[in-house]
Amino acid sequence: MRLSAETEELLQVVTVLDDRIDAAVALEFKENVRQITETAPATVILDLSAVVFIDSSGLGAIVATMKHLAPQRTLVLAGLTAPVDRVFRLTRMDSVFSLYPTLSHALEDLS
Amino acid sequence: MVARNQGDKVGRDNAFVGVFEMSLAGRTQAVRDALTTCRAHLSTICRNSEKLDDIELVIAETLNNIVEHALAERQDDAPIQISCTQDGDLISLVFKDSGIPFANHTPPGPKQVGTIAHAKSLPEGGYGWGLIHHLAHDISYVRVNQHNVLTIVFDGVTSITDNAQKPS
Repeated sequence: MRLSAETEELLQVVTVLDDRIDAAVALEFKENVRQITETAPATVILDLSAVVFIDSSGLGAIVATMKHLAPQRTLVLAGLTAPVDRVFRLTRMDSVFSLYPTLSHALEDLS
Repeated sequence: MVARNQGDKVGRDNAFVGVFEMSLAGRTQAVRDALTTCRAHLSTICRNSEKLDDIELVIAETLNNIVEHALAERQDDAPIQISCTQDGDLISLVFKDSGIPFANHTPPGPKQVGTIAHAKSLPEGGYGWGLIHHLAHDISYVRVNQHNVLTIVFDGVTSITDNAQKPS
């Protein structure tokens, strides 16, 4: 599970470079995000624009990440592709997370 | 002794025709490749990418559930068999494994998901069956000869194409 991170003063952008967050990589994803966000500022934007498939294990890993970062830091999600967006809406996670259609939307709103 | 073939039930009642059959080793790492194969087969009869996404997701959740629960104690890569049949706009996917049965011989129901008010206590799992119930047209389960046979039916598979899709 490959990730990249860019940190500014008030926010960090974590980009998922792989195209699937599924049961095979959910634990690794959770662990890698945990490491990469260890010294993250108040807002972490997870850029999911490369991800075209997520299952309930992947969703659970993102929920776990959100809970791990709270309460000091907030996780927001950006760049949801159609199938990923659908999973978040079907599970009503759109009421739990702030979802932005693109990274630039998120940056504009949060910077 | 009369052998009863569960597949006969489908064939007797209607005109389901074979789309594909496959088998995979019952472990997490094999699920991805199986999904790619299933999607390639299904794309020959389903021209709607959202429907394909939905079916792929349900297959993923079903296979992961079999691997993580029914076959969890097995060390032998017990196979999971998938067979897919089509009847007009309906497809039926039958998943067969030799793992332990569902509790009370009943697949789990959809679970209620929390809202922002309960974000801290939000579960980190258990969303799979909610997705399966939401996206499938019908789900049925039987235990036959020490095997789990789970049948999931989808509707609207061939009638909608990407080009003909109405804006939502």
